[in-house]
Amino acid sequence: MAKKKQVKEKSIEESLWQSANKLRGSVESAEYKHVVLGLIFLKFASDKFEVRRAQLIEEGKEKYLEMAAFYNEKNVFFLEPSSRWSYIIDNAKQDDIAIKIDTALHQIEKANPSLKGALPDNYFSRLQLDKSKLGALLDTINKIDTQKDEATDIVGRVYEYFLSKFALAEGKGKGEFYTPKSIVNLIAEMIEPYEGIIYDPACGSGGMFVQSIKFIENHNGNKKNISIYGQEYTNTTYKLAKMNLAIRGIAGNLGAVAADTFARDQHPDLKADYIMANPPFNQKDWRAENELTDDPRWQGYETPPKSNANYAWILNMVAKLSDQGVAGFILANGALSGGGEEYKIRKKLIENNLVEAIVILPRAMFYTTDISVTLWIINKNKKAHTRKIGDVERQYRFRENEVLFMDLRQRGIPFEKKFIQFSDENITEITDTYHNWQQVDGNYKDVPEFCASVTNKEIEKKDFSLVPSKYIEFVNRDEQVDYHDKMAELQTTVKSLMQEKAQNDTALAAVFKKMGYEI
Amino acid sequence: MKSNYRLLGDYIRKVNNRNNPIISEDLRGLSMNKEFRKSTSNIVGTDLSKYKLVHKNQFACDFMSVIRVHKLPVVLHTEVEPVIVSPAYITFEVIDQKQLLPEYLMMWFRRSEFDRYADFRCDSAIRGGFKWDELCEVELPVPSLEKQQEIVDDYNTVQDRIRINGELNTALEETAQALYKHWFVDFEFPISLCHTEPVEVRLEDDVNVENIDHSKGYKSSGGAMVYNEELDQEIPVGWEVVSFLDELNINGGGTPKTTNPNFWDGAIPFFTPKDVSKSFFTVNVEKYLTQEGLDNCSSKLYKKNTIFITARGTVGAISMSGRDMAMNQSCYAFIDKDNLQFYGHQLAKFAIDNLKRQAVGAVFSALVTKDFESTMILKPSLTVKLKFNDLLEPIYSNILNAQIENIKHRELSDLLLSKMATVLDHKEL
Repeated sequence: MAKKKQVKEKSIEESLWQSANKLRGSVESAEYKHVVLGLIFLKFASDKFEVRRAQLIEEGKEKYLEMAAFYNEKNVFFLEPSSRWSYIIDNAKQDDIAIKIDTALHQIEKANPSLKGALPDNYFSRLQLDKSKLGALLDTINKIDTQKDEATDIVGRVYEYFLSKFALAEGKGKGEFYTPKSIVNLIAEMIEPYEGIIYDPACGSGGMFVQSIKFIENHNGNKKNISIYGQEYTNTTYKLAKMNLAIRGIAGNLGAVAADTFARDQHPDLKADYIMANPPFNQKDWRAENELTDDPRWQGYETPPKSNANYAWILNMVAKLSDQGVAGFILANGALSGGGEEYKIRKKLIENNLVEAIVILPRAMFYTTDISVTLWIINKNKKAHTRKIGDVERQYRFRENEVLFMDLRQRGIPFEKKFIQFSDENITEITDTYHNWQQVDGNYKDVPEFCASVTNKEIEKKDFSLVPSKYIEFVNRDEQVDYHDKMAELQTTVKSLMQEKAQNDTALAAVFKKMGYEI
Repeated sequence: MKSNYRLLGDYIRKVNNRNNPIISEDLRGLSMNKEFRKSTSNIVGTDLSKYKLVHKNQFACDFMSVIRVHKLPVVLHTEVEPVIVSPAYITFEVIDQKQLLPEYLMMWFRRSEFDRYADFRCDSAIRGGFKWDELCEVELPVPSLEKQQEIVDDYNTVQDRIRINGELNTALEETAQALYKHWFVDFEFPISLCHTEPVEVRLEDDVNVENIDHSKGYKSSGGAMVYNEELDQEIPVGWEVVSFLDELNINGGGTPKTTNPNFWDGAIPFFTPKDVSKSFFTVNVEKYLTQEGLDNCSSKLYKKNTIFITARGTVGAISMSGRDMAMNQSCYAFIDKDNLQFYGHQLAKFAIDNLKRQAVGAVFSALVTKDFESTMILKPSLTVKLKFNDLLEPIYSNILNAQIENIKHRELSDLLLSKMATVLDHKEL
């Protein structure tokens, strides 16, 4: 019987990744990301522009074809003729194509204020790319049909795929900590950013924002009811974030420039309803000895130690939460039990009833590091109140003086061989447990080796350590072994083995005797 | 904390004896089985005075590895002479041995549930890790000293039996191999076999049948030999040089779809190279098939006493099935053409050892049918082969029996360890 040959269709992302990879070697991998994503942005903006242009013609508004306002009103970027993808492709084989791309990007940025500082600046000509390889890459990107199916968010998918692929490819080196999708998803499902202000003090390429918007869409919310604020230190990443948001038609305030959140806070008076963040872990020397010692953000707390920024990040977020605000963020495990000033700050955070949940994540979730990390949830309002998230109404109970601890190290499914990610079932189990714990009649129960609801008093007894295994019960399975059944079974087998052995001993002795070596 | 449980921290204290002045040069590592092993580190030119001394009844443990290996490597030193360990390890001792017996504590550490606990407590530090604080927070039942001694003695009785069975098996395996060499390499099989089949085995012309020394073997007694060009040596008259595959039938294996749960976790053992044991037989394996799984793969159900040779991954390891089992595609199964499997097993061991020896230098990366085809072996007369197989039968059955017994004894040990958790609640122990 002949087997039917199955031709596995490669996804757009995959084929694009493969052909785009051809460019590698001539460009450093960290740079390469900006090249590819910059071009995808150009293609996408151009496709949307052409669609709008066709629309205008159809509506008989030919005379407005070159007026930016008619594009901007529909969330479409206006493009000069020399910024359009068709122009780039027509000139793809020319020597000065890199300069033409730079010019195109520059013009788009100039014509669209919302893109200020977002696009690569003289990037392509500086890189001195191999002309034929760049041409091949342009050909590949030319094949993406960004308008094929608007519902599937093709550009978002390609963008996300590339960001995660780059994080994988960059590996351990200096690569930024790209937060794996399933963690971002978990945070969003836990804190439920539905309407109000969302803030990420270390927003990277903007993954948290994208996931928040998805959360809103999944719950039939209106993304116009949310405002986005972020800050990012690395200039190229800041641009990526801007492009990432622009491509998805999300307006956001990422600050005027890329800047250090501690030294140059871009949103000093912000009060956010939701904070989602994955700040750099265990950052040393984040301030000089005498710098930032009486910053308003630490007010009421000790100044975070210069040797580690973990608690500076925490306090930055606490300071920027509104009275109803909830923050979910990832930190290295060390912060759970650090001493010195960290201890004093942690003690006060607990006493102020800010800590809502501490969740240990499985190892090997991050592409770039294997360190163990914790998801912290800080909640400014642990009093009884109700809240609507789409069709769901949450009736929160009074839970000041309580912290929920969770251990997810035994959860997750394998991903890309070396890594772990959460399945949808995992996320449901975790968020259900958390939401049940939060709510009146939530039917929450402590589960050994998984979760425990703990009072501030018990935490005080453990000297304000937030290490979950100090509180979550461990079940010694030895206490449940059915000794009698097992023993009875062993009794039968060992008895017959010993009888068999006795007979065999005789036979064995005979062998030695036959050989002339009697035992 | 349960009422009969105590905090370990109340019973132990850290010790930090450096090897200064140098008392010991016996550097040890900690094995995953919680035993000391000879260290493989090169200590030439190392300053041994920095290493930590472990005296009798002291413990050494490696906190850093817990998160990686999911167990706590900890060892109790039981010999009189002190040894040294890496300064990165923590050493500790029981404060009062009239309260807690070190051997009893070591039994507590050997429990797989203890390892699971240690792993569970690894969420505090950046890279995770078990620390002294966590060790001190371990809770365990501490019964009377007499009771502790009794528990330790019971455990050691079983351990001794496991050890004795193991040593006996090693001796029996060596016996089987010595016999094979004596008969088929030195050609000193019993001369009495010549009388039963004079056609196959005859004496040299100048040897008088009446004068045969029956205490000696064939060759020494003047059995007839003939020069064989292929092997470049003398062989008994009537024996032939044939291919390995002329003596043993070769069979393949296969794996049913791993994604179909209906094929797996049944009652049929599924042999893979991982399952090769140090002893002759493989009894327990990692994976099991259902009948449906067996029906959907290209492996047969091989009978007990089938010879398995691994061909990929681990190459050239030999094992005999201790019960009926299927086999994956990384191995070959061999069955002697006269169904004399013990003889076949020894022959295969001998042939593979030769193959490996010839492959020195070259990488022994995989075995294919052709390798067996081209391996030449000596085919003895059927009588000699038959007699040899008969002789080995009780030896092999003894080995298998002891292997099975040890599997059961290990289950018993685990049970005794588990039982510690409830020691004061029952009176069985």
